[in-house]
Amino acid sequence: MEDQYFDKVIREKMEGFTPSPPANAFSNIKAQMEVVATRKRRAVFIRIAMAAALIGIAMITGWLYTETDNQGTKPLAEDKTIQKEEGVVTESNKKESTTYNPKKTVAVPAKETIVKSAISEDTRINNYAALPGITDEKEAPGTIRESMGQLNYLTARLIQVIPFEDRSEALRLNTVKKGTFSTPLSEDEKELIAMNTSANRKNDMPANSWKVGIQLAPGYSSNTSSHSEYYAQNMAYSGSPGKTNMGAGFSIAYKANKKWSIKSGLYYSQNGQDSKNSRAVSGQGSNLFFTQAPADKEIFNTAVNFSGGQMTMNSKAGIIEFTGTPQNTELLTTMDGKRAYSNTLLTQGEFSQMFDFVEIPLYLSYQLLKSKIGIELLGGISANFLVGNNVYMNGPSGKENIGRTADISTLNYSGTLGAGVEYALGENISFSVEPRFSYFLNSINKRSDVRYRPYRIGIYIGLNYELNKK
Amino acid sequence: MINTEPDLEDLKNIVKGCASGDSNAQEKLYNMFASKMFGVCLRYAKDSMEAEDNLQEGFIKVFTNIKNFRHDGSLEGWVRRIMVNVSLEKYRKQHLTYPVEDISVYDGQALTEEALDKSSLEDLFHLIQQLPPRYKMVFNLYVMEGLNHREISKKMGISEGTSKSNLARARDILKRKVQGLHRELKTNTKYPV
Repeated sequence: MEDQYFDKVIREKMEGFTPSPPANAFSNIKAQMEVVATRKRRAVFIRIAMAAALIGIAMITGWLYTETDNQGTKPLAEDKTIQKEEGVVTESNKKESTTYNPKKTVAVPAKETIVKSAISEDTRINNYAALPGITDEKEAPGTIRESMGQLNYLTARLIQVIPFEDRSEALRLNTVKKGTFSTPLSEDEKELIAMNTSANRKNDMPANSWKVGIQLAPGYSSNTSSHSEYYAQNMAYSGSPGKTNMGAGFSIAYKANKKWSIKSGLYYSQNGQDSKNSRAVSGQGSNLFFTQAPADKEIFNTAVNFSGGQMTMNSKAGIIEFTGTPQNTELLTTMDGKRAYSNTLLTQGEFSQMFDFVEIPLYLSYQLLKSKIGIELLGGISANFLVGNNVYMNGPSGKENIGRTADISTLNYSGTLGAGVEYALGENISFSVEPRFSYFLNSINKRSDVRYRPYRIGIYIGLNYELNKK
Repeated sequence: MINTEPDLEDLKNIVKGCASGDSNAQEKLYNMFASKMFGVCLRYAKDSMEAEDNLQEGFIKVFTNIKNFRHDGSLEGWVRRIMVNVSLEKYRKQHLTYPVEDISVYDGQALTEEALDKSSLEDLFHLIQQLPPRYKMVFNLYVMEGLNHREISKKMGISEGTSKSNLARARDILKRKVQGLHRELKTNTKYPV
């Protein structure tokens, strides 16, 4: 008899072999499935807890980074007072009223010999250029900390809404155990699952898939700005075009289909700028009043104004409201009649303005490539909530918080374009690098004579975890 | 045991339900395939206890992995492959130290078509069950699952030559026993008790 015929008959006969399984088989299976489900829930809980811990660490790292940056901040000098102007001087008596002596200010670096205030009682300050929109609001010192506390709270709240379900346990059956035997996946099953997973990725990406992630985002921020002529003539020009800083946050993405995803999240980022010499005071930025200063030291000088006991200064981002006179500075009235502000602040170092934002984005991303390495493009808008607004002076005695920038909007909008590369570390976990460019769609300063729009280029580096992956 | 054939849409709903952990859907799926799969498990297992264990283990894997099933092939085939793989895994664990036999040439047994046709399903099942474990595995994989010798050699960790010789030996034993059974039946017919 031919083997083929023999095999065929055997096969046909045996195909009809359908004995009844034991009656309790399904109840046993059901009981074991419950054990498996409990273990999976526990594993998901542990993973979410770990993700929360990682996010917390990232947030704390970001906060510490900011705090480290603020180290050396000195309290405002207590022994200095700002002379409140009592009257208005005319153009003709300005030169007569100044008490400034150039020789006296050459020795500025020596702390003990700093001239604390060169304004005498009878100094008359011209305040005709008092700027509108200045309020008496003071920025609480703990604003950043409080804001970060809110950020962490929001983070925790968002984690709570992640579905308590894990659909990505395909390769974790190795942990399934029943009584005395375990059920590791065989090579064949792994191959089968891998084939299915591969087919899944290529042909039919899962719908309703959620992905959460944490990111650290070192970046560079700068701005574009324009100002009215009147404002600009008293404005300190920018010392450097931008600042490097660190952002952090977490993302949540909803995969609508195999190509498109909607992304959101919660991010903390900084934006700011430095200010140096006033163009009006120093002409082209040279140290007009400090020609005898050491060549390796740069002396800051800019026009400041007094109004209602408040010292203010025009910067690119807006009017800086001083909460006191910075340490190691000299304040004098100039003889120059070309400017609106007749007072000049002299010091070494430079101002830096920092704006802290909590960003809630809404991005649309398009998957260009999906395999072990995925590539995607993204774009969208973000709501940026101002949570920190501080002005620092970096002088010889360290970094000193000297006030805030007035008229900055609490809520701002920005547009973002970016690209991302994602590398799968496992079935559900991936590592991503996403360069993003964000540009504010509105001027963050509410004044009509100041238009200041920050932008930021950040490299978002993070870990992502895909939930309920089918 | 309910064994009605559901249409494709029903099947998709059952699969979807199983993927989301719905125990009713799991029970439906179980009822659809339990008998056939128990038959598969019995063919590979050394006894019914082991077959029952394999059936349960196999269905747990089915329910846990069904989210990966994409409906681009037969669900029954997919479930069956899992059952076979579970059985093979169990076999591998139990027979790691079996010596490799290599009987390269066998004489074809003179089995008549009549003898084969008259053999009952139960007789054939018991004859297959009585084969030495590896012969039984190779025979089942080749004849029932349609695997070639290269695939069998990979799955069982044996050479292709061993697979071929094991299959030939299994066929030889079965033919001899089927013919013997037939002869016995004929004898019993002539001289009924």
